[in-house]
Amino acid sequence: MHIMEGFLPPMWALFWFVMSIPVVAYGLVQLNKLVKEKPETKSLLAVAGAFAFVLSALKLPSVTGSCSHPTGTGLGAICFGPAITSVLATVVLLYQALFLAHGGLTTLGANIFSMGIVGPVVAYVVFKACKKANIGLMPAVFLAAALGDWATYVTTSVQLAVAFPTALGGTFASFKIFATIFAVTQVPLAIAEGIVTALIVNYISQVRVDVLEQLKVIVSSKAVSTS
Amino acid sequence: MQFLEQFTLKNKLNGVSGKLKTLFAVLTLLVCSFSTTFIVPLLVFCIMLAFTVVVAGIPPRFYAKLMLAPAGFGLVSFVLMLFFFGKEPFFSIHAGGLTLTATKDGFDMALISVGRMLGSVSCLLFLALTTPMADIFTVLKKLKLPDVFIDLSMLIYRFIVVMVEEALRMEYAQKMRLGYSDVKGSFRALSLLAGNLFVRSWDSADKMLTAMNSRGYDGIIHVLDDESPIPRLHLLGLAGFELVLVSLNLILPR
Repeated sequence: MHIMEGFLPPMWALFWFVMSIPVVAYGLVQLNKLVKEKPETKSLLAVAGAFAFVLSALKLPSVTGSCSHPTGTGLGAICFGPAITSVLATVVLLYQALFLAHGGLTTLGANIFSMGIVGPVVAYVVFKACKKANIGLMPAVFLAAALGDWATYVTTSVQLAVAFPTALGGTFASFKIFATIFAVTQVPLAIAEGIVTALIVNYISQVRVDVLEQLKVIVSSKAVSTS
Repeated sequence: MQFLEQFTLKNKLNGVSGKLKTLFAVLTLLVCSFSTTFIVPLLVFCIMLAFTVVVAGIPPRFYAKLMLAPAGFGLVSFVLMLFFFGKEPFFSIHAGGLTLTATKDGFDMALISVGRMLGSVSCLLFLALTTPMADIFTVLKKLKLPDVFIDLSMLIYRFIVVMVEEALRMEYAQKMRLGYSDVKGSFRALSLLAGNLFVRSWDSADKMLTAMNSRGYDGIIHVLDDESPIPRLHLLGLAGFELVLVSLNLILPR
């Protein structure tokens, strides 16, 4: 759910940059540490970032008739955790602006906050909770991706609402308007993205389970027996 | 799937310094988004449109298609703000028993935010359609962003190009075999494509890193940057242009 280039008033655009930069900086520190420890992870992270971009450039099967694009950040959060995902999302959002004209440079901060921080954090927490609850890999991935998407969409609505409060009802009335409009496309989109993400993880677990074990998405049988 | 980037190497502004183009687009974008009147963004839009389509020679049809999404978004926002966001009555529409009242302050809000959005989008499109990624990397390096970030961006850029090609090939192959023929099939086909793409790129990333390591990769991809300075005359012209925009903002009524 990108906010279009230049749509936010400058002060709000700045505000969301200030909110996002510390998290991305923290992600960069984590990334630096990870790359120093295991240099081979860098190219894998790059693949994950490119994958999120390519996914977002593909069209999801339409459910309501409107064509929509998946965000792909749920998968990143499940694989790498929210801190590093925020860095990947920053790069991906920059490319989405420059290659596809989705989002923009002035709204980059706001978009990083909704799609690169809030969405992944929710997806990550939901995934961890589902793993604890032992509801199986596919449902866990579905819930993580779908709820992450919804969190993103609510965040975007809040961002627009605080920037454009209505004269009579204020921020809350404005939030209701934006949220209702977005719900038409975002609620089905989140379900579709959840299904696709779950199917992708399922496919990877069938053909290359070692990749998921390496990322600690699923606990490998070997690792348990040796440790 | 058409990327804006494919035009950056074959437009008529190709010989112009990438740093200058980036500076021009980003400064104008900033002035445009700080504008307090809708006239400056409108002016920016016209100038950027002229630079992109006339000077750089981007096909007008392609440009129009790109503007379609922002225009649609702008229209929806405009209507929403006009009717629901203000309180001073402006005019009313009676349609089938329903009365919609447009508001004066809502109109002002809509005019400036939609105007700013269109002007900014035209700046973004100018940058995206005329400036190659390599030049933008040079600028990012000049901004002293961390090496690991720039390196990761370069790697992601490289993988995007490779993966998109592969994804399109797979999509054609699937369509030949009745993939995407109904909703259920679409979900299956898309996830097969994405899963396969992930696994294959994962392996190719491994191989690429081995190849890079054996050639002395130390965590930074060293590339020769364009070190030539921006001609002083161009810089002066740019500064003059931005000054005119800023002063227009100060003169014109809000």
